Amino acid sequence: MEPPRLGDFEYLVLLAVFRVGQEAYGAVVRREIETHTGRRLGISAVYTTLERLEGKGLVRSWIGESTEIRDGRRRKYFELSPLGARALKEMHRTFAAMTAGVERRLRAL
Amino acid sequence: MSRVLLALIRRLTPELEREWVVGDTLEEFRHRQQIRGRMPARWWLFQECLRVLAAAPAHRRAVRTGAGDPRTSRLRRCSEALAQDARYFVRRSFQARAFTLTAVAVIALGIAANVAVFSVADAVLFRAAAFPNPDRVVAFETQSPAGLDLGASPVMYEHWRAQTSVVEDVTAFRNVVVNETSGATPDQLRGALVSASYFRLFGANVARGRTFTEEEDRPGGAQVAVISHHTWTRAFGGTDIAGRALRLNGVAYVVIGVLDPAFRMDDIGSEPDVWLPLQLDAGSKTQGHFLWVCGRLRDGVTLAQARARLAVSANQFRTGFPDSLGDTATFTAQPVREAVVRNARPLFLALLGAVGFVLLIACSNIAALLSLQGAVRAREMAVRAALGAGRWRIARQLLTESLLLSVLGGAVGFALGVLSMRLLPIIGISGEPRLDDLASAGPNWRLIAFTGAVSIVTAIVAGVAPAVRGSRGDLNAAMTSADGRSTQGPRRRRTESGLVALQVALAVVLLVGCGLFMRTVSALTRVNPGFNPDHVVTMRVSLAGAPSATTTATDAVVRRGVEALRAVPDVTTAAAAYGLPLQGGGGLPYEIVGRPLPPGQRFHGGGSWLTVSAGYFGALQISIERGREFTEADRGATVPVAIINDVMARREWPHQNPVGQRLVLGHGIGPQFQDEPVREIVGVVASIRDNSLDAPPGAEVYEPIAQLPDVANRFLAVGGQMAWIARTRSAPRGVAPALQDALRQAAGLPVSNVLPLDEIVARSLFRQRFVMWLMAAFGGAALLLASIGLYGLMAYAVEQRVREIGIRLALGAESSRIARTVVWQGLRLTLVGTIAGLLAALVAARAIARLLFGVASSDPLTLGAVVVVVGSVAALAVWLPARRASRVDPIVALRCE
Repeated sequence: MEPPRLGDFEYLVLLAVFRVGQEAYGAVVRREIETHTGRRLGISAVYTTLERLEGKGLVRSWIGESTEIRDGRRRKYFELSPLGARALKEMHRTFAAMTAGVERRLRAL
Repeated sequence: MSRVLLALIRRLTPELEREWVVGDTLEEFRHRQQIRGRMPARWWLFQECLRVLAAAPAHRRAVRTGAGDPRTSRLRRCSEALAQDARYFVRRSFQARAFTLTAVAVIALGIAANVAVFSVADAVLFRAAAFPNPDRVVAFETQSPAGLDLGASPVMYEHWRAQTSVVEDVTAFRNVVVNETSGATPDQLRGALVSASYFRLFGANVARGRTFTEEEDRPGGAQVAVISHHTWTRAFGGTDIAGRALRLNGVAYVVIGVLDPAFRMDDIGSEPDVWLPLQLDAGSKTQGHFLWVCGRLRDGVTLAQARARLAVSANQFRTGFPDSLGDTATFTAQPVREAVVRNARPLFLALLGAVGFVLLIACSNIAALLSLQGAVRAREMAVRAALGAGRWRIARQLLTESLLLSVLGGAVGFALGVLSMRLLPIIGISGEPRLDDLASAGPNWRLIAFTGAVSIVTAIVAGVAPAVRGSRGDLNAAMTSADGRSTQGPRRRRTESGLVALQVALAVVLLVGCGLFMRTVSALTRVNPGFNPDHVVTMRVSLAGAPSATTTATDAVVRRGVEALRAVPDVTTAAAAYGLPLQGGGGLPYEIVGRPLPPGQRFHGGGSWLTVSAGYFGALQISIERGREFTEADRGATVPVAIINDVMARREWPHQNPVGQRLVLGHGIGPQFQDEPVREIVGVVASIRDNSLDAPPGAEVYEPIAQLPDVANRFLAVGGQMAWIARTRSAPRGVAPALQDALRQAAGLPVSNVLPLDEIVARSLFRQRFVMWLMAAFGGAALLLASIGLYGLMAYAVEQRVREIGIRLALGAESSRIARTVVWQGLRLTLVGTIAGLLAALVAARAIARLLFGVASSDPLTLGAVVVVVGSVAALAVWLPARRASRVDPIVALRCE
């Protein structure tokens, strides 16, 4: 199965899930993107995208146990599915191929 | 401020996502509060709120359309939520193993009992008929104040056949036994004498050849036979039947047809091997009720219309035959299968009712368990509700859980129920043909559908109330309770207490039923049947055909047989009779010679008609009260004699010695009794139970076989088989083969139904024993369930009060006093339940009064025994939690905060 094409925000969220590795839930995914891109994100936007990625079969989710710090609320965790991993890899290869050899010019822009 | 913002975010977020979205926001907020300080965190929350507001429509859309995938339907989201509930259920079940196991066991028990009874009822009452349009095929009956009678005389058959405006294909038939002597060893076959329309009525397809023509069905018609597929393969190896014949009762019958193997008649009596033309004389005036008559309702005629027509026609019939239809009797018709299972119906309805009680107990047990669980989980539910889970969402989760429990319990119960059916033969419940089938036949789709339906009903009955209550969780109460459990004590526990008392009450009702049936069986086994069934072997031989052509011929066979039996070592006495005790037989009206008849009457009375050989009373040890028994000297040439029983003697000659009086039997009710001579009464014997142990004996008249008129002898030989009895010194089972051989050689005819007489007595109690066993199983299950319910409630109550008990103990309360309080609480519930149960049982027992024998439906011994049993089991169920309460360690109890 061909991985579906990704929008740029989807790509970001997918990368964030990948970066966090295990225990990726909404708050840390957002923090990951905010830290590295400096963008300010609403949590709803993160979840909207995560749900969409899950609908496309790129991530999987499960509900965790209730936690003290959140007054007993449970977390919804996400991880890359094999399809998601392939999509990420392909996306990265595309960008890497397109930027190969022009890194210095890009930085100079 | 931040609380308002959080609430706003919560409102803006789609319900499905609220828990983690709000959780993430809270987590981030606290994180920022910690590292950046309060105000920046609040500022962030305000901005976050705006961002969520901006993204809300998109988020809502994404969730509604299933995360952006337009193909995701509402159904899929629903099923995903269900799957989520189910996953949650599985995880929780592992955490609360004890609860899950108890609940599944309780449901399984309730459903197993229902599966068992339903499969029996299904086999006996509801199984599909093997013939087409079973609802249109009716059996004709005579209805009188005494009940419905399926037996019909040839005159009635002719009369019903003439009602062509409402019925067609009217058919008469009777089951007989025939001796097949074609092969080297004679064999008995089950035969049916049927009129030509039989095969059309019951939709029998022929595999080969044809069925009877109308000509072949007339008196003196050809000797032809139609055989079953089984007989065809057995006797002819499935080869061509052209020119083949069977020797039946010494006469060659040309085989003209083989029926399709799919044709089965075991719905209405035994399955015949061979069908012979009835060849009934249309002009016959015979009044014996030895036929069954069935017919099909004409197209467009309803059962009610047919019945109305038959009722009117009964009046015409009465004018033609005033003696054979009383003024209070009339004709009616029933769908044939209903007529056949009629006797079993009240019994099975009672059983289905009883087993429904078991399920009700299981349901209320589960409801109580779920409700207690609900109390334990009140905090969890309250948190969920606070986090935005709607009431419907929570109720759905709880309902899903009870549904899954029920389905699990249903599956286990189904397996248990099917297995328990295999146990039937082991506990000695056999002999009813359909039940024997049942033990070997597997479950069918009706049973599976039934189990599924019962499981779902269980889930709904048991789960709805706890689900509704659980979804109403009170956040404040649940959160502020110190130990995280619900504090809504009194009201909640009143419900569970009520449920437990209900269970006790239902168990009491079932146990009373069980006790009454035990008393019935015990009373029946203590009934003196009037004869001694121990050490007696019985055998059957059909004398139809040449051996019964004349009474002299029959008498010769009887004497040969009896002598051969007596010659077997170990045999003390032997005799023969048309029919055995407890197996029923014919009745005949009698007229007493020299006594004027009451006006308008043609007979003085009626009684059972038993024809026996010399030595019969000695062999069965029936006591002779006056006069003598039949001897070898009572033969055709000597004075015709009869023996009556004490009931008849008291009825007809209350102040006189009946010996020496004379009577005549059955005159005027048909040609077979036209030759009956006037008989002199030579003896009076003790009454025997000739139909069943629970029917008090009526008048009984005995005649010697050797003095039967030829035509009456032939009539008896066609309708029934000669029974032989031999009293042995050692165990009858061991001698039986030798006896069977001796009789076969002496009579030259096949010998069948070799049975000890005590087994015939035991089999006559089959139904009562069967009910007793089932009721015992249900009563036991009900008691077990109720005690689990009681134990669960008391254990929970103790668990809830551990702190309080600890404080009391610390303050110096005696532990025995605390135990007493717990015991008293439990026993009070038991007491309430028992009293309610006893009252209900008194009402319910009246409904089954007809099935009882020798015991009043309000039998004090039974009621007392039930109270004792329930009381002691309840005491045990209460004692365990009470002991736990008395052993609470104050230190531990107070520390476990």
